[in-house]
Amino acid sequence: MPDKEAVSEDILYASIREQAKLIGDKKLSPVALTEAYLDRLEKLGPKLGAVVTITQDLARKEAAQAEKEIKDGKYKGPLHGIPYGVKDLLATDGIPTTWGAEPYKDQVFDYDATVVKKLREAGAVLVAKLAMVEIAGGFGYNNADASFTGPGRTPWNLDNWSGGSSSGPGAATAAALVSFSIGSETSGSIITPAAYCGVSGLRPTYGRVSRHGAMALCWTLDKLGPMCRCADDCGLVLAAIAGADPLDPTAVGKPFTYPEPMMEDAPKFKIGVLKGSATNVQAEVRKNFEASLKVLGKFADIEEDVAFPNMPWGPVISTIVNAEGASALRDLIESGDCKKLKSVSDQWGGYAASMVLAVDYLQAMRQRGPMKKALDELYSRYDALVAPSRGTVASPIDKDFDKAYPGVGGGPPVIPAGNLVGQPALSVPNGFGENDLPTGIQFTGRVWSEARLLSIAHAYQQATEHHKKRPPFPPP
Amino acid sequence: MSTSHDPTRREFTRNLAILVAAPLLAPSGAIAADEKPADPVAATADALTEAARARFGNILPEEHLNKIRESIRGKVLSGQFMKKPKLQNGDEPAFSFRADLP
Repeated sequence: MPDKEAVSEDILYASIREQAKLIGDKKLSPVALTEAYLDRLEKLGPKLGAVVTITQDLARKEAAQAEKEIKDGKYKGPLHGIPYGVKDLLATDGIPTTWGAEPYKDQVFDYDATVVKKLREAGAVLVAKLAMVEIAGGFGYNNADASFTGPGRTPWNLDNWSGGSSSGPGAATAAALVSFSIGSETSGSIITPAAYCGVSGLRPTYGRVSRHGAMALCWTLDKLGPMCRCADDCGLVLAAIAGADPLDPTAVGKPFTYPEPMMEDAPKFKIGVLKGSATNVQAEVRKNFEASLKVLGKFADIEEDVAFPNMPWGPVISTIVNAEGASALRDLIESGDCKKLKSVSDQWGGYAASMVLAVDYLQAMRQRGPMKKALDELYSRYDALVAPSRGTVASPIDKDFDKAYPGVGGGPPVIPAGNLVGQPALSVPNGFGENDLPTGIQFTGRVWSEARLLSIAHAYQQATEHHKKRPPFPPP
Repeated sequence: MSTSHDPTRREFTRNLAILVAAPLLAPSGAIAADEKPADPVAATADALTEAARARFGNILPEEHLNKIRESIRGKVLSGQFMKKPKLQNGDEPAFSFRADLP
């Protein structure tokens, strides 16, 4: 097997499936691949603000073990020997888990999150704990500089944000510092960095993946999911991390099979386009979205102008995030250590969030029943509904979000709505916009429909090249 | 969590914008004990802001008090907007208590 110098950039940017083929055929050494990524994490990670801790010792141990097992004929499958990173809100035994925040920078747990354990069982190699917005953005940060590791930068243009709160997973995956990563989403934290970094990010159905060992922001909204360089890889990773867990009562054992078994005479996919989803967005976002619809139309029946239910999505999700977040992080709020948070709005946001009235929180939780019914009724008619992942490209690092692109918003509130009802979403790159920054299209579907969304997105990526583009990083 | 640029409800956003634009240097909803507040949202926000001061004492960042009050106003307003659609008495919150241990 070749050493790390022989690991070409083509291999570093390859998909998991491509790397796995080389590893399975004993043409690529997991040790060499791991060393090559460790090298990039060390040299390039700081330029992106993407890395908190490089886990060299653990990575070398896991890589050596994978290499030995494969040599001994005990090949475990497509993640065996594949290096990955996790958002630094997943507990790792004996390695700091900082939640992106100064008050927790020395926090060390003595156990591994279930997702980390499952990936180890699949033979994957943990190479890094990746940067994130402090406390997963729960206190309402308003600019990119909201982590004790500094702002996350997209490798497509270092003056722009990588998105949040899974900033490190997005940037590190896009810049080939890891083969794949694990992010988390409460409301938009996978979809946004996936769009801003030009990677494929999957927010699974609530309950699909155990959150044991993950920082809790909102117990009824938090999800963990893969961020990869293509949709197909997201399927491979989700298959490894999905499933019931006695340590997380919300995680259930619903079957997930990837690739989705398809009948030979299966009807074409039916895809709905949300009305108004490309109206108040940047011109390039609209243009790229319309081009994506043309591609999708080659293998799917497209129905335009699908109306989205008008319900109080924003007020409900903000009330829940505030109430649950203020409770989950009550120790931090009452310690007075919020003043150590990087973003000024995070320094006071927890106090305001603590004043949400109990009846308002319960009202919000009661609204989720009718919301689930309304969206399930809508989504039952389609394999997927599509919209631009975000209405704009990544905002400049030095501007507050609300001042970055004034007058540009988005369409229907797909992100808060989808998170409130627990449905899956998948963002994949679909072109470039202002300042050559990536744009994305998101596929949303009925709960437990990840395999269908992955099939559609994979078909889209078979017909396009956007996901194969490499960022101009490191800059010359 | 991502900060969403997506509009939620147009009305919600418009009202929030009005609130943001309002002068916040002094408690705007202050009322005498026998008066009904002209602006119940502002009065509730002011009362909750005072409750926050009482609750968090000297760790509350006084220099950000106006921001805190403004944020609490938004939360009170969210409570108003969640009254619709109308819920039935039997519409339970979307979580369930389980008596058995996990």
